[in-house]
Amino acid sequence: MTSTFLHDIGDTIRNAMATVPLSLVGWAFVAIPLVLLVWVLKCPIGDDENRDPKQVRLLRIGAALALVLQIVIYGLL
Amino acid sequence: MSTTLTPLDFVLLGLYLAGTLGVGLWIGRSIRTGEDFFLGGRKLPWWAIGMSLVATDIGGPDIIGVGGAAYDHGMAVANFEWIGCVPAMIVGALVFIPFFWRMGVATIPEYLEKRFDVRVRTALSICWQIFMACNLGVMLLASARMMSELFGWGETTCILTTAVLVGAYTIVGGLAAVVYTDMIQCTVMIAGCLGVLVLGLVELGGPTAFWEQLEPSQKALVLPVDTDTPFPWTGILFGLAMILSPAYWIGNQAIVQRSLGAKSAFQAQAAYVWGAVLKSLIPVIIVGPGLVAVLLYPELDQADHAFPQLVAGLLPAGLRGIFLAAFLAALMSSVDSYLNSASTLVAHDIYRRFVAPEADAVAMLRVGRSVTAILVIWSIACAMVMARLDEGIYTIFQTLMSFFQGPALAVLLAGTLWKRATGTGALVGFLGGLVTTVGQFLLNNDAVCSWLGLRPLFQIDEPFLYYSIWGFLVAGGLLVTVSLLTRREPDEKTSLTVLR
Repeated sequence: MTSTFLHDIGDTIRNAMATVPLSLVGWAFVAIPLVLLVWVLKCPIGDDENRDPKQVRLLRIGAALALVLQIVIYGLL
Repeated sequence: MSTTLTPLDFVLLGLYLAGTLGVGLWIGRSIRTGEDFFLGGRKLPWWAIGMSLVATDIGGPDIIGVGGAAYDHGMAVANFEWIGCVPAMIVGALVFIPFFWRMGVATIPEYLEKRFDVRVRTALSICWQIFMACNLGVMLLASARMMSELFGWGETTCILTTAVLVGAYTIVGGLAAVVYTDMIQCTVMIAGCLGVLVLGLVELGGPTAFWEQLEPSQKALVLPVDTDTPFPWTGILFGLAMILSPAYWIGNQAIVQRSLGAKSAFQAQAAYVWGAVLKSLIPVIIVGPGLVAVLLYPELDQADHAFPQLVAGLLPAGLRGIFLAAFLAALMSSVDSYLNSASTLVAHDIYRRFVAPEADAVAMLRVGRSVTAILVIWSIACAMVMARLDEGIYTIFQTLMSFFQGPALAVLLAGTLWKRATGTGALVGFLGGLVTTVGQFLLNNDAVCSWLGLRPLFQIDEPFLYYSIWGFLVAGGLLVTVSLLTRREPDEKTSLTVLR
C-alpha cells in the first residue's frame, strides 16, 4: 500500500491536531456558545424599522436560553 | 428479537395514524394555490414551525441510527444535536432566515439565481433534488427494517404502508399539513422515546446508577483525533459545527422552507430559536436509550438493534404501540417534509423556471401535487434498491449529505456575505468542491484503494465529516480565486447580501 501527496497532507494535519490537548479542545466547545451568547446579547436584531422592541427582546431571551443550555452541557460533561 | 403487538397496541397505533391522516387531509381542504401548497400560504405560526423543524430533523434513521451510534461510540454522537445544531440555528435565526424571508423566495436556489445566475441555481437545486430523492428511500428503509425486526412484518409491506400514508396527506395538504402533522409527531415522538428511556433507567436502578455504570469513554463528548469512532473532535468541530450544521440549517430546503412560510420575519426567527431550545433536550431521548442498551444488552450483534431490543425487552403491551407510533411519527415527519420540499424544488426551479414560466397559482398547485405523487413512487423503489446495501443506515444518510453540503455552504456564504463573489466563481467552486468530496470518497473506498494499491485516504471509519471540510475548503478557494478573476456582478445582484 503506497501513499500520495494527499496522504502526506492528511498525515501532517492529523499529527498537528493530535498535539492539541483534549482539555483545550473541551474549552473550545464551551467557548463557541459563549461567544455566540455575547453576540446575541449585543447584535443589532432590530434593523427592521417596523420591529417591535418586545419581539427583539423575546428573540434575545430565547436565543440566550438555548446557548446557556449548551454552555452548561459542555461545561459539565 | 421479534415481538408481538396486542390489540391495545394496534388501537393506539391506529388512533395515531388516523389522527395524523385526518389533520393532514382536513388542512388540505383549504389549499387553493401553489403558494398555499408550497409555503402554507405564508401563514404558519412560529410554535408550529419550531416543532416541525425538530421533528423533520429527527427521522426514523435518527432514532435507530443515533441510538445505534451511541451504543457503539457513546455520548459523542450527542454532538450532532448540540454543537451540531444549536449554534447554527441561532446564527440562522438572527442573520439568514429573516433575510431569505424578506426576499420572498420559495427556494434557496431561487435566491442563488437572483444573487448569481441560473447555472448556480440549477446545479444546487439538482443536487438537493437527488439528495432528497435518495434520502426518502433511506428513511423508508429505516422504518421498514425496524418494523421488520420488531414485529416480523415484511419490509416491502412496511415501505408501502408508510409511503402511501404520508403521501396521502402531503399530496393533499402541502406544507401546512406537513407542519401541523409534524407538531403532533414531535409530541408523540418525544413521549414515546422518553418512555423507553425512563423504563430503561428504572431497569438500571435510576439515573445515578446508570451514569455510574457507564465507562468514561462512553460519557465523553470530545474524542481524540485518533479515536476509532467516526467522531474525532476535529471532525465534530470543523466538519460538523462549522460546515455541515450551518449548511443544513441555513441551506437545506426541507428545513428552511417552513420558515419561509411563516407569517412574518419575526415568526420565522422565533421558530428557529424555539427549535434550538427544543434541540438541547433531544439527545436525552435518542442518545440516552442507546447508552441504556449498552448496559442492558452489551452483546448485541448490530448497534442498530439497540432501540428495537429495548422496545422488545422493556416495553409492556400497550406501550409498544405508543413507541411504534413515536417511531412512525419521527419517520413520517421527515418523509413528508422531504416530499414537500423536493416537489417545491422541482416545481419552482425546474418547471416554472424552464418549462412554464407563466404557470399560474393553480397550475403550480397541480404540478406540486403531481410531483409529490411521483416522488412517493420513486421513494418506494429507491428504498427497495437500498435494502441491498450492507451499511449502517445513518452512515448512508450522512455520507450522502457530506458530498455536497460543504460546497453548497461555500456558495451560500459567499452569496450572502461577499459582494465580490461572481456566478462563474460560485459555479466553479461548487463543482470543484463536489469533485473533491466524491474523489475523497472513492480514494477511501476499500475496493478502489486495493485496485490502485493505495492506503485509504482517511484513518477513521466513515469520515463523512472530513469530506465536508475539504469540500468546503476547495469550493471556497476556487470560488474566491475565480471570482477575483472574473467580472464583478452588477449592483442589483451584489446588493442581495446580508451585509449592507
